[in-house]
Amino acid sequence: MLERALLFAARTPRSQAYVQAMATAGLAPGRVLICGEDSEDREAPPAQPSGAVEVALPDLTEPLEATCAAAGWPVEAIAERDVNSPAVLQRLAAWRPSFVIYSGFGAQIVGEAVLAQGIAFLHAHSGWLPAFRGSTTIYYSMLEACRCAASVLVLARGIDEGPVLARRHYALPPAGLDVDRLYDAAIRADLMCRVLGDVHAHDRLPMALEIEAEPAGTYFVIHPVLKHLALLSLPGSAGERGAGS
Amino acid sequence: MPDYPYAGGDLLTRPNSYFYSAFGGAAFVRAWKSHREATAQWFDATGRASESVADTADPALTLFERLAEGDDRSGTIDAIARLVQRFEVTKRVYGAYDDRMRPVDREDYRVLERYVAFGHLLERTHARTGSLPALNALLKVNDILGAHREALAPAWRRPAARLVRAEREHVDALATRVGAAL
Repeated sequence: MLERALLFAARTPRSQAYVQAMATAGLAPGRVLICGEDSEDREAPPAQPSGAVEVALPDLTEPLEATCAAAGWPVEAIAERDVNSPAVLQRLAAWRPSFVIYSGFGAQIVGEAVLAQGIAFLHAHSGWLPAFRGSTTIYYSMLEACRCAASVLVLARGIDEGPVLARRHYALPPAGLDVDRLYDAAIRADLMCRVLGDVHAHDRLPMALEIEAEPAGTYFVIHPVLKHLALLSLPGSAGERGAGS
Repeated sequence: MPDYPYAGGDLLTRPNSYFYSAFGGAAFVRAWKSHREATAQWFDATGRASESVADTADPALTLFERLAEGDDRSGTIDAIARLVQRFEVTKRVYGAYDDRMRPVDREDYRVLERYVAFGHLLERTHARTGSLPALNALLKVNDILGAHREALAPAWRRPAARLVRAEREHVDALATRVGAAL
């Protein structure tokens, strides 16, 4: 099943984390569709972490194409950024992948026309579902639960409301680590690879978890003051500029 | 000390997105506190005492006041959550909402008094429940009030000052609870 999957990879640090983690784990998708302008994934290296990290961090200086080429994966790159565009819809209809490993641009919502194709879109969310739905939940999780989490779900109409296939807690990142571009991407990539490993082993998507009775919460883009409290509360934080992302 | 950059310009026309905000260390938090204290002092200095500032004919003010009173009637929590969602999507407070908390007139969002009343509802909600979404929205409301302070009617400025200081107390309490190195 994995060999017929499509990796939808917007030019973002998260996609770099996905392709690097998948390549390292030997989890090869059937195709990779890279979306966005070519210059978008050439980020300057961020500050280095000051402590041990339990997940592999992406190398943001390595372009998506380079990782895919080294792994021998077939790639098509298009300038289109919108997952709901005719260019993407046309390719989905033509390729009919077994499922999509989705790593789109932030704030884009996969629309009904795409979901109506009946292809499962697997998305890794950086929060424990359903308790932490919405945006920037990694920071809210730091403040409310004193740990981080990721969940892999199948996208549905409601935001973060599709069936959850897997979820996992992660330790707080060390002070000094770029959370937005490194740690958030890394924990999502780690859990996505665990799910893809399961798909590879059993040749089917995992069953959805039974979690309907758990309380749900919805969060919105975190205000910079609360984001600072989250980062300044990390173990080892000195509270000065350069000590976080 | 860096400036606090989120409470300037015409935020009613061009709202902040707050996406991927930069990290400025403890100095950023000090800049925010400084900005808020100056804002609260300005509201106090230019405000006018008034026994009652509520306009009972304004549907939004009536709604926010009723919800802020903390009645436990069914639907109150849902209603507040929907109002927070509407605000977060648009960064605007409207003059009236329908029964699903959708704005009745999407062009009616420039009355700053409603932002104070909505901020008061958020402040009460966070105080009662510890809701971080409520505190998060309150911080954004106070950014708007700071950016548009001259346009706020004098009778509403002292309530606005109290709102800004209450926000500061809640943030300080949260910082203490999570052990933030300020």
